[in-house]
Amino acid sequence: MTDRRTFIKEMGAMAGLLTLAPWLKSCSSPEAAYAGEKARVALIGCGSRGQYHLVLLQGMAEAEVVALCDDYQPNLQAASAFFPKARLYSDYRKLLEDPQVDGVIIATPLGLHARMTLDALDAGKHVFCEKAMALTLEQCREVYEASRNTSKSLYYCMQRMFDEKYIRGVQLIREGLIGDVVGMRCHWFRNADWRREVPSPELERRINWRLYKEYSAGLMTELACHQLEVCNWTLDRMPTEIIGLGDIVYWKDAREVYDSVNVTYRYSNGCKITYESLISNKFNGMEDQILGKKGTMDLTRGVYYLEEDHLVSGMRQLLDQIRDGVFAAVPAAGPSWRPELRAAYVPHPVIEGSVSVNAGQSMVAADNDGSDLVLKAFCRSCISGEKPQNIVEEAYCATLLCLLGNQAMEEQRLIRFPEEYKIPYMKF
Amino acid sequence: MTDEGSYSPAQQLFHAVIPKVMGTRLEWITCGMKEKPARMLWERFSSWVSDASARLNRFDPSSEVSRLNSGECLEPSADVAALMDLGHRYKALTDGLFDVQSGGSLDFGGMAKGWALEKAKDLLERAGCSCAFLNFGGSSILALGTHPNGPAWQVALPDPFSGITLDLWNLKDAAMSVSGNVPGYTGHIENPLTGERITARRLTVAVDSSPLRAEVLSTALMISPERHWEQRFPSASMKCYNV
Ligand SMILES: NC(=O)c1ccc[n+]([C@@H]2O[C@H](COP(=O)([O-])OP(=O)(O)OC[C@H]3O[C@@H](n4cnc5c(N)ncnc54)[C@H](O)[C@@H]3O)[C@@H](O)[C@H]2O)c1
Repeated sequence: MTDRRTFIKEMGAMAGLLTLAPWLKSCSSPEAAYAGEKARVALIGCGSRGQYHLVLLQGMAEAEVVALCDDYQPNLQAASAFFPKARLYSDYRKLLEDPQVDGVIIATPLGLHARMTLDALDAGKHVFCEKAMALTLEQCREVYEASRNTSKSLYYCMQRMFDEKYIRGVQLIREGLIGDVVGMRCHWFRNADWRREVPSPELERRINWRLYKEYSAGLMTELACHQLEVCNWTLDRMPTEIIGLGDIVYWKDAREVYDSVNVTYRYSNGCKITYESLISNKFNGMEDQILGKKGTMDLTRGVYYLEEDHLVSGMRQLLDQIRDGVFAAVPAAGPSWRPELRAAYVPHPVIEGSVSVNAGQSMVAADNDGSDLVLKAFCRSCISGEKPQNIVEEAYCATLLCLLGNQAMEEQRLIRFPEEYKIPYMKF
Repeated sequence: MTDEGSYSPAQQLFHAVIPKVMGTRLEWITCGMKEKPARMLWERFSSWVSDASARLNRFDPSSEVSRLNSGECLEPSADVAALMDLGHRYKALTDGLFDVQSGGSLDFGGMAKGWALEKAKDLLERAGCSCAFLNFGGSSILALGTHPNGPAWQVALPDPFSGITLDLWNLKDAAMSVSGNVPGYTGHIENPLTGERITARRLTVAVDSSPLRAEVLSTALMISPERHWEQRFPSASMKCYNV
């Protein structure tokens, strides 16, 4: 398997890559450029995702974890075991006054992302925030404006943007490998209630925050967010219309968010994202598929399939030649071509070597999915002071689509993308 | 699932396809024949080849080959008996490197398409057809006569990993066989003497007037690229590509 750091270096050197994924810029500078320098970072929100970030930070040369914050003691204690020397806070505002902190990593429930991000930027800290951007459209707008008026870096942990197989896949699509993109199918299926054990009843809403609208926008922001970002990135466009149906189909346990969502996003050219998520059946797992006239890109697995392998198109060329009175070579030979039944489509890998595939069943993390690289890029920005390009914009676009999807399902109507939330970055 | 084919009178061009036969896709083109004989010839061949394919199908437990392999006492059909006989001859000619019975059970996958093309060649020649292009999944091709607008049938061989053209082969009254590993389908060829699976990123091509000989040789070359096969089989042209 290619060394992931080498990969980013090579990719950085490749023409066109930084146009495709300009946020990779800091990853492409050599390791030596940061030798001996460390970003002093703090974690706010030491739950399961926060602790996963701590594991990644333990192995990261550019990072020094100087402070931890959580208002739930058991999680703060657990986190402090990773970095015993880190100062501990229960109030994030106190942490933000700490001059020894260059940047904060926010891994709290969604409802807190906007407030914490705005406060941290105000306090002059660089910010790495978990997706999604915020719980409401207004908050997204506020954060977006703040990011434009600050010299500090703001990152969102949308790791597909840093995942090698996604980057190569999107690059191949942009190069025309699968022809015109005619549709996108993304889904995320699990069979689990999304609940965590609660030590005492008054903690229910805090610990199971994902289930309540006060903190969470449900499946759309928790899962779809990553996938919708990929669709926009691939097409370099935003959808104009949204419709959907959402329900609580199975987990009727007083939760407030849907456990089943079906949302369709339509782009101005008619191309659609068909999005589906259901958490009471996992058969279909998690998939991000881009459908082209000439082939299908399965970004989740890092493979593509061609509608017509060269044999079929070669034989068609040959027939055309005979009819048109022309002569030329035709690509009609090759080992073991098999027919075009769904199961017999031949997978072509987008990168060499083994690829880590996220089956999408974990609530916390998947290995080698780019999360480490987002963190690393953030630490490098803390050191260099260089703001990353397009990350805030991508997070803004994706989060808006999640929230508008929820709105469409709640209001049971077709939503047109609201004028007041358009930003110059968006192309329709 | 055979189709009736389509005929273009202007070029006396007949084209037909069987999407799945002998484990792959068959494309059939004849030129210079009147419509009726062209269709009759295809009808004869397509029904024969579909039938033979069913008898040789190892994945169907009720096929003749499966029944023979499960030890059933059965008089082999004329086709299967002929294939067994040819299999033994080629085993001897390749010092055991080509073996339809490696691992004990019969598997004609490595020769069935070449053998079917022998049959097709015979039928075409008897019908007086001197211009045809038959293609089994890209890996077994029979090219009779020349392309109607050129000096030969010219076939490009793409690198299955990159899609870039590796080579051009001019075929005239010749059969071409391609073996090798492709992305997602590697290691399907085995050395019967050692049991070793060939996983190298290698393609081999053999061209010969006999489709079956071409088929056997592309496999033998895949297993043992260092041997001087051309000394033993002077009628064949062979080439190995490391991709
Ligand atoms: N990028 C990804 O793939 C990915 C994966 C999992 C989770 N996440 C995101 O990470 C975030 C956290 O998810 P999680 O599963 O770790 O949740 P969690 O409930 O396990 O952790 C949240 C933590 O925040 C703490 N917290 C709540 N309010 C606080 C406050 N006011 N001050 C300080 N701490 C506070 C909680 O006590 C808890 O420890 C969510 O936004 C989630 O969407 C992202």
